[in-house]
Amino acid sequence: MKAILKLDNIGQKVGLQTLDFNSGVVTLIQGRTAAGKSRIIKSYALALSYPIKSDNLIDDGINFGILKGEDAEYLPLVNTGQEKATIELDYDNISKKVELFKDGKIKINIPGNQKFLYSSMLVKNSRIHNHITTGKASFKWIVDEMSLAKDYEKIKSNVLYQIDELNSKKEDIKQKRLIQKTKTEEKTKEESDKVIIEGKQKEKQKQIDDFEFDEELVKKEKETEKILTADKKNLKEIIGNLDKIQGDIEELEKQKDDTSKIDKIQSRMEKNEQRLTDLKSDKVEDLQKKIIETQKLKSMEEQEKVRFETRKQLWETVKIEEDYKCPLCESTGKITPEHRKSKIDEYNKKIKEHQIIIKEYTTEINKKQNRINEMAEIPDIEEKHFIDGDKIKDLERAKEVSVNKIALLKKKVPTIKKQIASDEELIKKTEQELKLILEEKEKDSEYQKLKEEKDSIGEKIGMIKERLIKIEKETEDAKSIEIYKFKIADLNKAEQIINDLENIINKLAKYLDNKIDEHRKGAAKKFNESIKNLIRELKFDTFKEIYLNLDDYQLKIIDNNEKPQELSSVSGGEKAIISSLLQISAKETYLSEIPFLIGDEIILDLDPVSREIFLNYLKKIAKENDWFIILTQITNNDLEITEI
Amino acid sequence: MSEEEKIVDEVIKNIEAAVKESFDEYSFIEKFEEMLKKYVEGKIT
Repeated sequence: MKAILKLDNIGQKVGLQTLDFNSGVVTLIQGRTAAGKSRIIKSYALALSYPIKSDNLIDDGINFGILKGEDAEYLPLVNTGQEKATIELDYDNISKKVELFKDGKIKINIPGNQKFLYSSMLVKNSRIHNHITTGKASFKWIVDEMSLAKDYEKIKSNVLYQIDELNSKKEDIKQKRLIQKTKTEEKTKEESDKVIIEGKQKEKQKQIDDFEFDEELVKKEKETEKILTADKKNLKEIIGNLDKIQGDIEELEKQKDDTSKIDKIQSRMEKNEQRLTDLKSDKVEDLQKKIIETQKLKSMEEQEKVRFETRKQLWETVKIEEDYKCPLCESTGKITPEHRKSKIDEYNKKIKEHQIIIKEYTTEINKKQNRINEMAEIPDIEEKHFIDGDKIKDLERAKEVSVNKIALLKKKVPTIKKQIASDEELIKKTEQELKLILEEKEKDSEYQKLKEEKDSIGEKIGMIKERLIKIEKETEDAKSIEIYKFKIADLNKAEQIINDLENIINKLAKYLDNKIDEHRKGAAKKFNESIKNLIRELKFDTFKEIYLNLDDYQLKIIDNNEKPQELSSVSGGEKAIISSLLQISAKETYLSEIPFLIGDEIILDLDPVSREIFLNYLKKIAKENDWFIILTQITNNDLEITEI
Repeated sequence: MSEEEKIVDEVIKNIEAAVKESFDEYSFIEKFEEMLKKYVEGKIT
């Protein structure tokens, strides 16, 4: 597998630099100081660990020179003359690109793993190396970082924070109970004071009511009040009277203006008058005479009709084509059917003509008779006409009366209004007089003093009332408490709920403690196993055993004589060996999935025997795991990259 | 299972989920407070 590292404007080199690395071997980067070795391993470190979120590791990143410290002016990896730099790393079908900006901002396309910083960096300023060289034996941090213990710790602190909140609520409950007690006492005292002061106020009022003013003044006041009452009563009556008159005028105006009845009667009278004129245009005697004459004519016509009917019958019975004898003239002759028909038709025509005339006479007679009958109604119509005339007269008289009444009432209005104005003026004057009398009374110094004293007592009562309202509110507030935004109006119940919640939280904390312990122990055991295997593999005769104590995560060193050794007591060379052992173990235990192990001269600086052992081991694991193992070494030459 | 046990159970599930899916402090606190709130609500209603 190949890793291609492209660096643009990184460190002291401006522009692009491309470097190839092979996996399965140990690559050695050699060169003098400032030749560019460290920018290569720092670039690897940044590309494979960023983003770094843990506070401890951010400090490590700053110390290692890949992150910008708070006080630093620029991001250290960016060339000082450039605004931006880039790191590109291609390996195993992964193409990482990191953009670095002078102001400290970093962008990465594929996130790395922050654990890379302490598990895969076999360097002198790594966290593990610093711990060992400074003699710090506590490795609790590594089991925390390398396991989920740290996450569980954070959760636990959040969970326990709720306990603090609940404890503060408990304190609030105590405080509220105290307030309730104090406020009840305060309320009792204020109420008792109020009763006493209200008694004083009543007493003062009595003194005011019973105050003996100047006799003349009191007499004058009473008289004026009497006059005023009488005047007001009188005025009320007058106003009532005026209202009534105005109401009456309104009513009469309405009546006066209502002409609908008169109009109706007048229209009826006109119709009756026309009818009478029409009926009186004929005389009964004339009509009767005409009826007799018409009846005579009708009778004549009826006789004629009978005559023609008789003749017609004769013609109907006569034999055809025989000699016949005329029934009237007795002349003889021959009769043809045509002759007979023409005769019958002729008589039919005559009969019809007479029938029409008879009908006309009958109609004429009926008409005249009807007319005579109608004329019999004349007296009735005349009587009705007369009555209607009287009615109109009555209505017009009533209208006239209304007009007269209105005029009469209207005449009264100005007088009454004048009287009202005059009475009002009088009342105003009397009121003014009464006011002056009262002012005169008010001027009495003794009386004045009593009133002032009463006002002062009133103010005190007002203040007590205000305090009582405040106490009431404070007592009310002290009766309830809010827990998780729920108002609980019973403090005992609230206390019970808080205890229940504490119980829940304590159970959770216990669960979390178990989890933390389980994860720490798990991580430490794994780590110990790895160290043990490594010591066995390397066949080191310096140490029998190195491990983390599972109770306190202190590093324990057992020498070949099976004697425990303090970390502070081992030599510098031994510390370098222990540091390398732990670092390689950490890599194998915790981050074997990232195929990079980066180191500086930490191993190359070991004693020749140890150096050989470690290098051989690194070559072996590079080959076995197909890892990229890259080490740097200071020489006096230019930058040189070789595989060993 | 009592109400308390239920809530402890549910919070533990939340904790395990939080640890699995890269722990987010704020959303965990929110969820946890919500659970406690529910518990209080259940007690007062």
